[in-house]
Amino acid sequence: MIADEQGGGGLAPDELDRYSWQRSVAGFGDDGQRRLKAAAVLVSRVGGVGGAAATYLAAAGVGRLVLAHAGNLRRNDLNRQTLMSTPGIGRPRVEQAAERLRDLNPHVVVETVPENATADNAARLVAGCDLVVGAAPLFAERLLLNAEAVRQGRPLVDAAMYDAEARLMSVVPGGPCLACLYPAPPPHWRREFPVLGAVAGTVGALAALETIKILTGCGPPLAGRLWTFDTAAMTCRTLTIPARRECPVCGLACPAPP
Amino acid sequence: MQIFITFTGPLRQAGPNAVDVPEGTTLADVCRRLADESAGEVRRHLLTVDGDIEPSLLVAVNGAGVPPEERSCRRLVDGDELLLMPPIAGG
Repeated sequence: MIADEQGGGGLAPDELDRYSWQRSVAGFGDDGQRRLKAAAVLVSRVGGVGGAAATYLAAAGVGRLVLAHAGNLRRNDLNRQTLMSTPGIGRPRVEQAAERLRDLNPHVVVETVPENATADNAARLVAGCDLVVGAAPLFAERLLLNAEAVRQGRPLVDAAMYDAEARLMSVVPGGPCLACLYPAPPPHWRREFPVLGAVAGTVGALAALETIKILTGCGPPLAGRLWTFDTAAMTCRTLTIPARRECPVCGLACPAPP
Repeated sequence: MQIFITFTGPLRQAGPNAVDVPEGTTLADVCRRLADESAGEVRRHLLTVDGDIEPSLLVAVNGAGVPPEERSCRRLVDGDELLLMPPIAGG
């Protein structure tokens, strides 16, 4: 086994082989691999976006994944929720997701929470992990996790989509947060939204990449920036997000403007 | 002066893509004008029922986000590119 230099456990021969193609990625290497193994990530919902994120995080070798998602699979989830299966209709989504991820990578500890984020469980969910991936279809859940992540000093990767558009941002301690963009749950957002699975999967995969960057330092994350992708026109933008001292969630943590 | 506009998310197919406005026009002025000239779907994403700029609407000028408290005083200049992004949370 490789000696543990980061306090996160060594890598067994099977893991060295499994991850051999990514250990040669510039800036990642064995050190990045050990950092991933030492990390725990909460994925809030494992639908089209969160399921893709969880898939690539498991494949990459994150040590522990906590999947939070309530409810049972419906037939009309299957155009985008690729961790699920047709025989699984009517079964808990989170259990199916965990089974697939354990099959993909048995070195990952996958824990299931058959609940969506609420005011009652958000603090507990966040406290048990090093980073949060927000992929719920409701702003109330995303904003709850954002507030807890900021309060507990944990990074948050927020990935969202609608129709042909994907958006991704990262919240890191001391930087602008999701509540800087959305001070309150927007009044016009509807639970059901137009979605092609490929669009949801695209932003989910990029959320996994963003998570890996934050956990390993292998690249600069989107801290203070919002990335948007119009998959219809195939154009993307990266917008700067101003730190808002007026933000009720992170305002006091943001540095004063010069 | 001319201001270029891009709508995204639920308003991806909305227009116009550009407006001519007088010097001194603010970002909030443009949003109100677009709301006044548009159908209900656009209007409800841009303005609150009280006629204020919807605070959860993401607005960027030339790639830089403009927070809600600055939108009424932010004056635009000729050629500015305005991005109007209603909130999305598909997961």
